[in-house]
Amino acid sequence: MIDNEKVLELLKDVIDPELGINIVDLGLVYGIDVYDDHSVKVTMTLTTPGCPLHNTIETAIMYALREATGHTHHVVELVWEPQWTPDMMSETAKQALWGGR
Amino acid sequence: MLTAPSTADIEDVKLPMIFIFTGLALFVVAQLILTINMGALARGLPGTPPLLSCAHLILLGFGTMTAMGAMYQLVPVALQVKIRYRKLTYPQYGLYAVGVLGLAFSLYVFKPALLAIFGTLTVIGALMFIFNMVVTTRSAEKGTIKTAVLLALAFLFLTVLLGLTLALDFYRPFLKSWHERLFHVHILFGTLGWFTLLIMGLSFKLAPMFTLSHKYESGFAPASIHFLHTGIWVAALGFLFHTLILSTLGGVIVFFGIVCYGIQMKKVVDHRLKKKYDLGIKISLLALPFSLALIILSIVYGLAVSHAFPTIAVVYVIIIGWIAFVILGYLYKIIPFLWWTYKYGEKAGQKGVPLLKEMMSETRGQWWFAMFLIAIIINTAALVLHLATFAFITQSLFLLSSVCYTLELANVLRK
Repeated sequence: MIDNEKVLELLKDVIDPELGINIVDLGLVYGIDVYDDHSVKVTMTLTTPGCPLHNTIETAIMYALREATGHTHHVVELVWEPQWTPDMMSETAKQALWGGR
Repeated sequence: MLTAPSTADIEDVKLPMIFIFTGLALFVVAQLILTINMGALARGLPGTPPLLSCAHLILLGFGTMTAMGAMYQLVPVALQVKIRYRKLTYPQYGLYAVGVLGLAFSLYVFKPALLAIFGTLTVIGALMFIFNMVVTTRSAEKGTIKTAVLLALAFLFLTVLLGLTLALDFYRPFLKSWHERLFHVHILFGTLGWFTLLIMGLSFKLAPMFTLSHKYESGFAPASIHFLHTGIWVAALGFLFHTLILSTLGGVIVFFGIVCYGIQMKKVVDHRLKKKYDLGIKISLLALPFSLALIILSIVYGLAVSHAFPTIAVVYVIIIGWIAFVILGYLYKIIPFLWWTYKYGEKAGQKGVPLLKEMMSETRGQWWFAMFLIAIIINTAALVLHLATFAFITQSLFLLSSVCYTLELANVLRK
């Protein structure tokens, strides 16, 4: 059985390969919807519009969801509003980047 | 429904790689030619056929070839647009590569008839690129990056047009005393108009993206572009009409533009969230103060001691210390990034996938860039002081570093 908590845990394994920090701590995940058929919709953003790692991160999310649910009927929606700011990062991410700056 | 990276996405990576590695191979060849002919350059003879061939290999074969490949990848990223005519890209590469190789050969053996033929091929290849990029960029939203890219493309157009005119003048002379004036404008448009505007424009996206910089003031970015653009035209008028006051004024305005760019980059770096950023980005940012310091020292020494403007040393620093050094820095970051995306992008999140930083050795990179830096400093001094033998030795060090650097980047493709 998959739920929002489980999906959030899964997304903590999806690492931004440039920064080496997971997308949850980076504050890139804006929303998680789990439907009755166990399909999942992840609403997320990126640190900068046009980030070249766009496809890579989406692929990693899909892989994690497929491994957990056994099917591929998931959606990753990329949004630019609200715009990502460093304030959205967790303290862990800030520490990892610059000792909490 | 989300899909994995498509074939088109993967081709997006192959295309810049073909351009970039062709450019790097030609860079090494150019350095070999420069090493053999460094004595002539130090003695104040920059216009020999091998040195003309070398300059075109560096600026068209390496710089422009690499810039073309990088722009096919970076313009869609920086401006959020799609390449308008993707089918044109590979034929454009073929025409341009054959044109530049033939042009370099024609200059080396100095055959005006061949020069006109391969010059025309190069121009056609460049025009195809300019057309594709202009129609692609026009659809982007207004902004400093868009302005800089469009201006850079306009200057590339003017540079190749002037180059073709000069090549035709070798074949059937008609320019007389205007040949030298147009030659100076050709160098000005190419080095500052095309390369510098492009480097500045793309850096306004790349530097904050790779250092994760946010919430910085960006007013110096448009100022730098407008100062540089204005300064180039004022200096060009000075060159065309042999008016020292105009060319000097143009130089001062260009300097203001460069300073504004430097301030903007400092603001980006000061507001970064990534404390440790990659070697390639550091080198690209270092290129400006490094080359500016070398140019100022060369000019001060030249005017104070030799009572002559050290033109050869200044042009050398602009081409190698600024343009080539920025490109070499960015490539050290971009190539592992592109290759990782191509090779491992579809396997992201799975076990056994290397991290991006594992694609390249930063320690060895520091050695290659240190060798480049030392060689550029001593080469510049040797050009100012006219030390032919000394210049040959240090240029040999530069050649060695360029071979090591290129092999280091080629090694990424084995991972």
